[in-house]
Amino acid sequence: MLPTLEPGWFVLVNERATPEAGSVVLARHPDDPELLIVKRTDPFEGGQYWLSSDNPSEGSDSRSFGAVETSAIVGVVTLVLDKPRHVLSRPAEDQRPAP
Amino acid sequence: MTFSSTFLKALDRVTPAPTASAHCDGPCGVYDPASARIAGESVLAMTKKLIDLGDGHDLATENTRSRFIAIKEEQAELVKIELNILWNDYFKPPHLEAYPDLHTTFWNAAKQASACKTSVDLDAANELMSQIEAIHNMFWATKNRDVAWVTAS
Repeated sequence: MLPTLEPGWFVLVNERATPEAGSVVLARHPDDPELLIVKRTDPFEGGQYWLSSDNPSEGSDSRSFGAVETSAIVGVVTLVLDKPRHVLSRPAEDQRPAP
Repeated sequence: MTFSSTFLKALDRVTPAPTASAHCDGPCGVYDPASARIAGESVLAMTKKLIDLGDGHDLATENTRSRFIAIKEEQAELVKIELNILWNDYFKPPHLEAYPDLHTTFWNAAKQASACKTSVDLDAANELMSQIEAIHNMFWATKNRDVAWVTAS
């Protein structure tokens, strides 16, 4: 999730919040429910969510596994503990690693 | 490092928080049995060409035969590599629940690719294609997509 999140950072997740367009969420991988993943989300048709990686060349996301059900979303990432003032909003196109 | 994060990280050492992954799969996440199918078609084509070439022993025929055999060998190996990528990297334990014969299917297909190396047998090459087709069907079913089996030749 570079440049938004760096490996090893601690985040707080609100399990009651509803993801909005562009929220960073904690979700369960549709092919492996044991695997927790952190992704950018966008509402998708039929009440599903489209998960994408801010670092499209590295993370696998809905491009490979499709949109996920609401039940796959664990919660919304609300705070980065290491960087309390860190902004979780979607990075501009030119700030993302090249695909 | 703020006080709260210091405190929470100390707490994490006592009761670790779950880890979330951002890189949960291969870098590109692009899988397609088409790669194995194309290599399998090459094996089939080379088998046909070897049979059609006949049993002449002049230099030109020997040269052509050697080339056909080399390509058949190489493409059969490629089938095994491509199938292994699907088997090892794409398919996950939940798929095994849906397809209990998943391991046997891949094992048989890899063995069939080897059989195509050690023989010049049209039936063996066609059987390899059938086994790749079975994997194609299983693969796309896991994605709930109806992708037709098409061959280049």
